[in-house]
Amino acid sequence: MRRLVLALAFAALLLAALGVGKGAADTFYGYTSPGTWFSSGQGYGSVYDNICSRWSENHFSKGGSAWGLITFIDSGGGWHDSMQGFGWIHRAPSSLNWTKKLHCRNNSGVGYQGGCFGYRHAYQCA
Amino acid sequence: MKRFVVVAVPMLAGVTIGLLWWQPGTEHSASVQAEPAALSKTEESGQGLELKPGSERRLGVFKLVHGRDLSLSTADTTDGKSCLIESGEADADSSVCLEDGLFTLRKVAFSVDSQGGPQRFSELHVPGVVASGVRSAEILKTDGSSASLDLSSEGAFVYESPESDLEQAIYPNGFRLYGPSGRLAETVHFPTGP
Repeated sequence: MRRLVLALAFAALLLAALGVGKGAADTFYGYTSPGTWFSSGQGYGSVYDNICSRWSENHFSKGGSAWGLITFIDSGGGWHDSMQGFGWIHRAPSSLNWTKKLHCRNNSGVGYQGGCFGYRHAYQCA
Repeated sequence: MKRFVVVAVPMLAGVTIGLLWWQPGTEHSASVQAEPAALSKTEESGQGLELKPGSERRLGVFKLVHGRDLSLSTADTTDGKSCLIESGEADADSSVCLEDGLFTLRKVAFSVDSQGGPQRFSELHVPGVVASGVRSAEILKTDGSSASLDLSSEGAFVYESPESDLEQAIYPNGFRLYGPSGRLAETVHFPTGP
């Protein structure tokens, strides 16, 4: 029995050493500066995520009269979980396990100031 | 006991290796290796928004065409914004937040949510809520047609674009809102089409 317990403990240590499991809390990441000027049609994008750190939210902070779009773009350029609206808009992806980057855009006819940011969820990687 | 250990340890090792390599298949799985499964909705949602306790008002649950449920609610944030919050089983959590109340600038608060693009959308729906004085509403479309909205007792709605509209690139682009007497109270245009 003692050897079985030791074997189980060893397996648990092996899993921990290989980094299987969820990481710490999500990390804030601004992909534009606050107060960035968005002219009509102008957009900004983040870097792509990876298996060690996944984008978990996309935010576009702007005024109540400012119309804009946020989306998650896959590695082939396709859009997923897009959202348009006035004011501060926020969306999470339907799932995390795919390669994506964040995108925000002023898709109205007038310019305004705003800021785009997201959260990254970190995983412990081997 | 010795025989049990001899059997159990290799089994445990096998299960361990299997767990390390197995992952649920997704359309994007080719680019993902040994990554934990998706997080639950509660773990994912709304980290940039700190909601004021007790301010949440549930507007109802709406059934989408493909059978998914979409839940709408409103709530205030601790920094003075008012938000329309959308959550669903398969749909991503999302929110629209406005300073000084949801209806200060227009009598409807809403968003336009879509899948697919940028050239063509495969799904599109418009969740929203109207101000208390609005008794009926229509959604306007880019082809000049309109459709009446089914408002709940709380004034909430979810409009879904039919597939026939999406195939022809016909999208919602505004609202007409009517007061108690049936008079036009406000027309809201989306600044551009989606």
